Amino acid sequence: MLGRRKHSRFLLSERVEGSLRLRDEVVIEKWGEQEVVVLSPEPIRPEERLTLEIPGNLHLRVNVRVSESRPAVTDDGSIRHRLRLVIEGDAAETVSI
Amino acid sequence: MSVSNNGYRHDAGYDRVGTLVRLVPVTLVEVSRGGCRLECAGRIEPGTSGQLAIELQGLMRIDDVRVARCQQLVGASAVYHVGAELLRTRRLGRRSVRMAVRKIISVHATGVGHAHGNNSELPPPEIQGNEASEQSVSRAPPAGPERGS
Repeated sequence: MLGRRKHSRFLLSERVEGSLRLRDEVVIEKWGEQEVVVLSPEPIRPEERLTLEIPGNLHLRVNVRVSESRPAVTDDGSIRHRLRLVIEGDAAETVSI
Repeated sequence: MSVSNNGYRHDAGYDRVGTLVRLVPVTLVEVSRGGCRLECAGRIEPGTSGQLAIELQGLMRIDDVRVARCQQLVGASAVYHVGAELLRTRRLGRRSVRMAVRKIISVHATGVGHAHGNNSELPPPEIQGNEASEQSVSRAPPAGPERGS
């Protein structure tokens, strides 16, 4: 159960640097030559750099930068965040899966 | 889905769902057999799952985690404490975070230190003390039976 502590914890005297790779499913609203607009469940700070992966037979991976993040209400009334993503680089990376 | 020369343009009928992947720099500050506490510069929504990658003793360790809580550190401008559960979705191998955590805990429990075990399997970083954070009263687990009715 979340929030319940079951094990003893150990504080590291030496901090260890690392990274956390997070994935959010988004709905693509618009796809242009230079930018993509998506609806995300989470807000993301402008200027943050991300990777947009498109599933399918031709699996695409595109490096993008957030240029704008605004809250938006979808048709079913749920709150999402509309992200304007600037495509970085000349070509998308195609990944075979 | 069709793709133009530059690989971006999608015609009508393309799959409108995608995945946004972001890499959040974190610092591992505390471990337990079931999870760990991380520090990062931004808020991460509880319930979010992701992949934790840390380098310990020259070996990259990777495991899937789920964020259980995220609290902004009082008095700090942009430091968040993230409690993450280590998920058992991957094999427990020498490159898993869980294995590294087990070694940290076992070495501390036996007090053997770096002489313990196989030298090729990392000796863990030094640890400060057992249950140091138990003094953090505000986040202590509730007392009494597991579930009242």
